[in-house]
Amino acid sequence: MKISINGEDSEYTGAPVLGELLRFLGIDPKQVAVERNRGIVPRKEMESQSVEAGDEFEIIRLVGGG
Amino acid sequence: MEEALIIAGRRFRSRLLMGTGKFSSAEVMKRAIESSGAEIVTVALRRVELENPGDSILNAIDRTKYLLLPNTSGARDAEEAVRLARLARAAGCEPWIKLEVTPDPRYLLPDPVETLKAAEILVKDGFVVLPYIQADPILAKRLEDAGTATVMPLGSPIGSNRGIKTRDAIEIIIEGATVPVVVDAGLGAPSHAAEALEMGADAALVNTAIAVARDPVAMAAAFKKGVEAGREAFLAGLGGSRREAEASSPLTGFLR
Repeated sequence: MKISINGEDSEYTGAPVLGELLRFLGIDPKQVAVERNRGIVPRKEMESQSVEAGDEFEIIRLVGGG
Repeated sequence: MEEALIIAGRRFRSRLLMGTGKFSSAEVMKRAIESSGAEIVTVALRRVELENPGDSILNAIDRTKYLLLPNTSGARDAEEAVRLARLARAAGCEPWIKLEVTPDPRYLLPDPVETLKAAEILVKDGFVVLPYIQADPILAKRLEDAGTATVMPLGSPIGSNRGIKTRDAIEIIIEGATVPVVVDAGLGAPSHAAEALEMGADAALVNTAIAVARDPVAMAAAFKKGVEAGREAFLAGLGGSRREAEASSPLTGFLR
C-alpha cells in the first residue's frame, strides 16, 4: 500500500500495524514519537495502531540540541 | 537546608543546565555532561532519517540521573511549538519543555507573541514550561502570570558565544521574578556564566561553548566552576563599585 513517511511517499507491504512498520524501517518503537495523519499516537498504541493506505506518518526522535 | 535550585517543586543541586547539540560524538557528550555536574540536559526533536535510523541519544543519557528537557527548536510559531512539545511527551519524556519559537533563522531570536501564546496552551495542557525569551522584563512577567516554571532570557544570540549583552534588562527581570531566572544562550566562557549567577540569576544554560571547545569535557568542568563561583559570590554579597579609588590599606599612621 502507498503511505507517506516524514513527507516522502513510500510503498509498504508488511503487516498493517504500526509496530511492524517501525521495525520494518529499523526503528525501535520505544525510542520515537509518531503522528498518524497529524494525530499523536499514544505510547500504549504504538504497537497496535493500524496502518492504512494513504496514511501520513511523522516519525520523530530525540537528538542533541540546546 | 542545602542550597538548591527549585524548578516546579523539583530540587537540583547544580545550577548549570547543559545542551547536547554539536558534540563530535555521543561519547564526548556523555563525558561532558558528567563533568559539568548538570542534572538537566536539553535535547531537540527531529524527523528520523529513514536511510540511517542510527542510535538514539537516549542510549547515551542515563535518565535515572538526568532530567531530559526537550526543546521546541525549529518551531516558527506557537502551533508548531505545541506540536513539538506534545511529540516530546509522546516520545516518553516527562512533560517538561524548553519552549523556543524562533522564526528568524539568522539571529534565532524568540518571537514573544507566539512564545506567550504557546506557553498558555502548554501550561493548561499540564506541561512544566521553561520559555526562552528576549530579555524583556514585561514579557517575563506575562509568562510568569501564564504559569511558566522559569523564564530564560538570552544573554546574546544562540551559539554566538558573545556573553551577556542584555545585562540591564536581565537585572530588571531578576529583580521582579518570582520564578527561577535561567540565563540561556550566548554564554561563551565560564566568566559569562559566573557573571549571570553573580547578578542573581538562578541558573545558566550552556551548550555551544562546551560542545565546540577544543576539549569539551574540560570546558564543561570549567563552566561548572564558573557557575559555582558566581553563585557563591552572589550569596556572599558583592561590594558596590565606584569610580574613584578607596584605599584598602589604612589611611593613618603613615611614615613621614
